[in-house]
Amino acid sequence: MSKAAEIREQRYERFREEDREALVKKGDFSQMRRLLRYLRPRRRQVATAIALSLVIAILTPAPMVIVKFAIDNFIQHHKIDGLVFSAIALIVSQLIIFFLDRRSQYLIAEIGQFTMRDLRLEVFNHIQSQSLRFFDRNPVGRLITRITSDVNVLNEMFAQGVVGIFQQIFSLFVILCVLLWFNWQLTLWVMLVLPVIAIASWNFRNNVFVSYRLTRVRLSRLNTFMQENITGMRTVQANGRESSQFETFDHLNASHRDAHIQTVFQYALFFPIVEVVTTVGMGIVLYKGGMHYVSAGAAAAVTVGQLALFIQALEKFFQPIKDLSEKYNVVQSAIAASERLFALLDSKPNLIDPPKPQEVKPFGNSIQFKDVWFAYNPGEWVLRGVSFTVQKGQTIAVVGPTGSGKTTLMSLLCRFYDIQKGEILVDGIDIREMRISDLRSKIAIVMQDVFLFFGTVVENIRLGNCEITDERVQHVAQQTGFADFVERFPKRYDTGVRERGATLSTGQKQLLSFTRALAFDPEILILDEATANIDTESEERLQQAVATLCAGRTSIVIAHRLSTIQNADRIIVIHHGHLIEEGTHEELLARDGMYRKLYELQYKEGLAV
Amino acid sequence: MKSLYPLHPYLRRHRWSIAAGILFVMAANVMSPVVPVIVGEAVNLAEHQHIGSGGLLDFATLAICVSGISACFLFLMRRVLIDASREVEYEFRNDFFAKLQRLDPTFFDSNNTGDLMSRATNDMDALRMLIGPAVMYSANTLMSLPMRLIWMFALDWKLTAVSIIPLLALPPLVRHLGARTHTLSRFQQDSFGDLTTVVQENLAGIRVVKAYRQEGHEERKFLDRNDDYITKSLDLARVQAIFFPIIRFVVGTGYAVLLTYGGIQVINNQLEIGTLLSFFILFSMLVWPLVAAGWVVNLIQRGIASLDRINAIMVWKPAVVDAPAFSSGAPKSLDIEFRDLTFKYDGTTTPQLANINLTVPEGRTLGIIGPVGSGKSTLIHLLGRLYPVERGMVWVGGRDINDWPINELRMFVSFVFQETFLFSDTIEWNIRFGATAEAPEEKILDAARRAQVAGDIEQFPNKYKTVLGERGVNLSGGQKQRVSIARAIARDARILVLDDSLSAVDTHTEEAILRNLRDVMKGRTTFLISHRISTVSLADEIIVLQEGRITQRGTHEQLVAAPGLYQELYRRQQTEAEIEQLDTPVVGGAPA
Ligand SMILES: Nc1ncnc2c1ncn2[C@@H]1O[C@H](COP(=O)(O)OP(=O)(O)OP(=O)(O)O)[C@@H](O)[C@H]1O
Ligand SMILES: Nc1ncnc2c1ncn2[C@@H]1O[C@H](COP(=O)(O)OP(=O)(O)OP(=O)(O)O)[C@@H](O)[C@H]1O
Ligand SMILES: [Mg+2]
Ligand SMILES: [Mg+2]
Repeated sequence: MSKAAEIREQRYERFREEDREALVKKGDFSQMRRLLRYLRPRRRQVATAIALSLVIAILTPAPMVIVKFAIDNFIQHHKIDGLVFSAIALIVSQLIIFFLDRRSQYLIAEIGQFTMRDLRLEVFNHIQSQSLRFFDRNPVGRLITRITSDVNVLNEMFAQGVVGIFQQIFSLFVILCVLLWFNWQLTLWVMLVLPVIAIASWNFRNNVFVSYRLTRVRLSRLNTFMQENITGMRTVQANGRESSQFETFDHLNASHRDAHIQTVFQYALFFPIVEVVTTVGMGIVLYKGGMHYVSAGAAAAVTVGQLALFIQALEKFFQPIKDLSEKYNVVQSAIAASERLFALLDSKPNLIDPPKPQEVKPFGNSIQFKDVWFAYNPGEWVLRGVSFTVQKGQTIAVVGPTGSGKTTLMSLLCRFYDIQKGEILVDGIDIREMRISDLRSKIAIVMQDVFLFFGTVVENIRLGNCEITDERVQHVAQQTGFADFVERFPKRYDTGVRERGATLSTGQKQLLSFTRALAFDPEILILDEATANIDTESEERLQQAVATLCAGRTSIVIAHRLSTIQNADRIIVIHHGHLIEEGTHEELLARDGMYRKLYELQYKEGLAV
Repeated sequence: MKSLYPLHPYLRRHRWSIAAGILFVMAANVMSPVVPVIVGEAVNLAEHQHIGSGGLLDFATLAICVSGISACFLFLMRRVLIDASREVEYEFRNDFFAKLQRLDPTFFDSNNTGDLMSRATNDMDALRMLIGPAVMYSANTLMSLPMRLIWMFALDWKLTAVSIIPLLALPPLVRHLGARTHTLSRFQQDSFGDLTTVVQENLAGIRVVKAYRQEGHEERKFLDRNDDYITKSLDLARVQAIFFPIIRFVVGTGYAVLLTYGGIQVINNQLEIGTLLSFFILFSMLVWPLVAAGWVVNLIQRGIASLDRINAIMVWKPAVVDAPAFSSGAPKSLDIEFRDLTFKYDGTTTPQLANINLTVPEGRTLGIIGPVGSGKSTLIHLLGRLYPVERGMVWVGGRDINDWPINELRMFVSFVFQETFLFSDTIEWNIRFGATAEAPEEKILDAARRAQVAGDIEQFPNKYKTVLGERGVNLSGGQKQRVSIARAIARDARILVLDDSLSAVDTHTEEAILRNLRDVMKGRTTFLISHRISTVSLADEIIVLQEGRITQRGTHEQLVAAPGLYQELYRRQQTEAEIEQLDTPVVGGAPA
């Protein structure tokens, strides 16, 4: 096997693993009850819809019954006025059905849409409240599939499923009553075909369920892949990897199609079977009913009108059965989707507000890291017993080789992750005992990976914080130097920003997110490589901005360029997750350690040029 | 229907399946109306006492056999047609993806991922419904209606003609409702696209959302989109809620007419009661195809609305037009030349690059330095034909870049973009991504070593098999950047472009990478963009870009000597070091 094929195989093997997981799990129908709970806020509408369908179900056999009466009482007895009267009754009954039907269909749609909104919102908020650990593991494409596709599948079940099933069961019942009422012997004969239908339906739904689940797993994989490729298209194209990426896509796409085709087979088989069974029922009516007729003549217990009623009612009788099986499928695919949704909703956010949060005052004293141990994956320590203190008003610089744990340190301070050992204190309060939003409201962070939202420049600076006025935005932008660029944009602050800021240069994006952080006027400012893509001149200007806008504030600065941190009050050096040195610039140079090594390198570089 | 035209090639490819499917539909429909006729005939005979129980049994068996045969055809119909629709869906999805792969950054700059995803999922679903069920049911309706009507006409043409009069109201009704469905579906689907975009943005930017406590704001945005979607959906639901009931009602009216007129005829002895019974059954057999027709119109309208949305992407003209493959092999030398290059992005007023004149002979290194937003990245993006340039402005190997087939050109270039992108696959896979598929293991390891990331990778428990999260979230900033440098080195192309690619690594690592790169750069044309003098100083020639113009050029020594931005930057970056040096006397031993 060639290397490429081998790697491809490894990839596909991971997919197959997921498929197998999907197949072994048993469908859990207790989900149903939980699903129905979502209808509770709309129980009035649901009740109305069910009542409407009850009335419709009762009215459905009306035309047949009217025709039966017309044949037996008027046509056979040559009464034209009665005939006309029944025709009018027929139209009236249809008109009533029309209005009820329309109302109930709209109501059903309404129930579905609103329930779906509630569910979508719940899923959305639940996802939003997850810790970053969750987002590290779950690709965006998969989560989008949950919020959109999976919820949409549930719509069918909320809308048509629940009410529809009631309606079908009612009409089944009503028709059965009508038949029994007019001729119970004949009805019982017809019921002989029921076991066949039962077996067929049973097989049908069992086989279909598995393929449904498989389809959903594969669809979500397909979407995730596509989503990733759309976001990384430039990389794919620059590396000329279109064809190999396409190959994988094709593989995913084909397996999704195959899962679907399995369900098609089940459908194709089931419906014609019901068709034949209906005819068998009709044959029984014809034979049994006709026999009566033949043997007893005009005095027969079975009238022509009854035959007409039975034959037409049979269609109507099997229709709900057919529908029910289909509705049942809707329910099943909903269960397949809800399994995944509930699994998501049940995953407790592992980062939650404490039950009794400490009241938090404005930041007044210090931030303390006390023997902090942290690992993203159990056992792989990224930080090993880091302790240090930041006093209010100080600027602390964090330096260290790449991958040493600097960004991690800041994520912990923002409580994006919880630490395993030790504690992080702000003004002496463990951050796990504060409300998360209280903690984060003290902090503004400029992250290493800049993210901008689709919207406008000003929206990206103030985000949803309406307290930040246009004047403040402009003032801060002026200070950071970002205003110089804004002036050149066609609509200045209202210029559109594309997804991830695609139409800005990298440095501009960094300036923008710097401006954002300063506009929030934080008590604690964190700068994680915030000037990595910015030229020397702009950087100096930024330092000025920080000095004026954040005078007396506390800031923590991560930087590789030692020049960036020369003004820091204290410097801590992180290496392999250990804090190895701490002190002022001078102290550290005097110590002849890691810092000095890094420093000398840069200095030498300066001379080498 | 012009709007269905994009489907043409797909339907054509499956024309035999579709033809066979339609044949099965026909066969099934020739059979099915026979059943009521048999029943009616049996009742007529029974009414006149012309038949014994054996005869009745024969009739019943006949009816069952006929419906059995018809059921076989129904089975085949579903299999063939729905399979074909899944097949078409599959092909369509593939083509959609392939189309996206051929589109350039201009397209992705102006289309949101969320919206594209909603086209690829939600709209694709609607489209499949259009191809499969819609084709099947419309074939079914088209076949069954005439067959049933023919039987009815054959039984009694006058009765048929009278009773179908109310049905004439259906075509204009359906047309009207169909048109509404189309427009409203389009609104609904657009709205869904917006909803998906909000979700996508929120999830992709979750770190910022959390850090700035924007959860509430995001929730409101999401709620707004939801409300909009609900409004649009309910508008559509209002129309759809009339659709079936009205068809049912119209058919019911026909039923009443049939009852009156047929009844009178029976009373007048112009019609047998059994025949009237057949009529009733046949007439009720009209309901389903008619309702189905309504449903089909519905599906088709929704499908077309979605097809429009998907097709808007399929017909998108890439701004960068591919050139035909070279007839006589690629050019020998890959000298790069910019001649009076002026470039402006779509939607901007002033050019981002102006009057760039520059030659980079093969094998040489060009350093580019300049303030934020001066056009450095733009310049090298043009080299990869990411954005369109006018003819005569950029030349590679003595050939206008517009005459280069995109793929061949990119084969020669190895980019490290300013913003790294890694895939959620293993690290090895990501590094190999740049190289040819058959690149040996050693090459990958060597690339990682040169990019100074091998040490980090060795420390991960799964080493090169470590699976990355989306965009490489489980790596540090510097690790990501170095993996993407490794990817570029493994690619082993004749032109290497490093766009500010050492911004996230510490000085120590930077130094080591630069040392290794010197090796890599040997014999390769290299573009080195940086804000650091120390990095660009490695280049044979350096240009200073300011506001899209070259303001200075020359070697490091020349530029340091000449007054201008370069000298100023040099001084500043130098003084920073010196200030630090002055701070403490300990550094005396630093090697010069
Ligand atoms: N989300 C994550 N999941 C698992 N591991 C992670 C995650 N983020 C970072 N790591 C690992 O933790 C270590 C420290 O990463 P961190 O981002 O804190 O480094 P850093 O000091 O900021 O480096 P750089 O200067 O390159 O940005 C790295 O080895 C990295 O691979
Ligand atoms: N896709 C785009 N559409 C429109 N304008 C763009 C696009 N990309 C960049 N620009 C604009 O073009 C100008 C030059 O951008 P470019 O990315 O080339 O700058 P740069 O020199 O690489 O800056 P940096 O040092 O920040 O990376 C900027 O003003 C930017 O806003
Ligand atoms: Mg970092
Ligand atoms: Mg750039």
